[in-house]
Amino acid sequence: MANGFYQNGMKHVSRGNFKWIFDATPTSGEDDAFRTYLVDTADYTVDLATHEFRDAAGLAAGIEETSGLMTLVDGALDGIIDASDVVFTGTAGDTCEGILVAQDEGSAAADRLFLWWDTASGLPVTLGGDVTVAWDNGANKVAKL
Amino acid sequence: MFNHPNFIRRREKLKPVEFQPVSEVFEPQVGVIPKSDLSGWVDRRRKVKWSMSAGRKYYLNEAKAREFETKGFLDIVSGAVAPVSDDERAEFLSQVTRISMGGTNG
Repeated sequence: MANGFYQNGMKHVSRGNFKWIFDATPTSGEDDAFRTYLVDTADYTVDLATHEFRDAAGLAAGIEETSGLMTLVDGALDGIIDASDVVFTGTAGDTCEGILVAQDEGSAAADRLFLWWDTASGLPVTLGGDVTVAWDNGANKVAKL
Repeated sequence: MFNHPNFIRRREKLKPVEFQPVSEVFEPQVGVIPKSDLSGWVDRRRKVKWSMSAGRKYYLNEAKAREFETKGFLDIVSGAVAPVSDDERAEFLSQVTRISMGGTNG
């Protein structure tokens, strides 16, 4: 596979179902609530074309680590979206080959898949300590829509 | 003439109160501001996690704040922590793995 957007995630962007905007007190269920997940692709085979929600086949088993609600930076010129780096402390579990960002609606059946990476420096990652997901500090930040 | 009843007056001998050092009762807390969004497990079996958002102020146990500061996860903004030796620093940093997403998005 490759890094990319879930096509259904982009559909939800275009329909205004979620937005990438700073919120000092993000709350699960709001349209600006996102989480980062570390995913074991032995359990989950990504399908950017069809998968839409976090209850996609194999994803529940594949998620090894879940972040708190992310601190977003307002979407900027040319569709650049950014966020604070994400740190998972005291990790344990299977080796993870994928990183997922999804909007948090409060349940797996409603959480909207948005971004996927399986190519990055440091992947695959062996869990067992602290894992920092450091978003790009260059031009693209978390992503360019 | 009035006779007082002859109560047997027993009084428990007072025991001295034992005091514990404050450090054994309350773990010293320091104020911190995370540089990143941090999370960790409270109870993995019950799937309970804690999380701290970047840029907001929290109070942490001194030992944990010291560890996280050494790892570069947060800044200590109030209170003091013990110095970190070179050995401790190396041990803390050996626990950190970094995934860099540089330029590979979307």
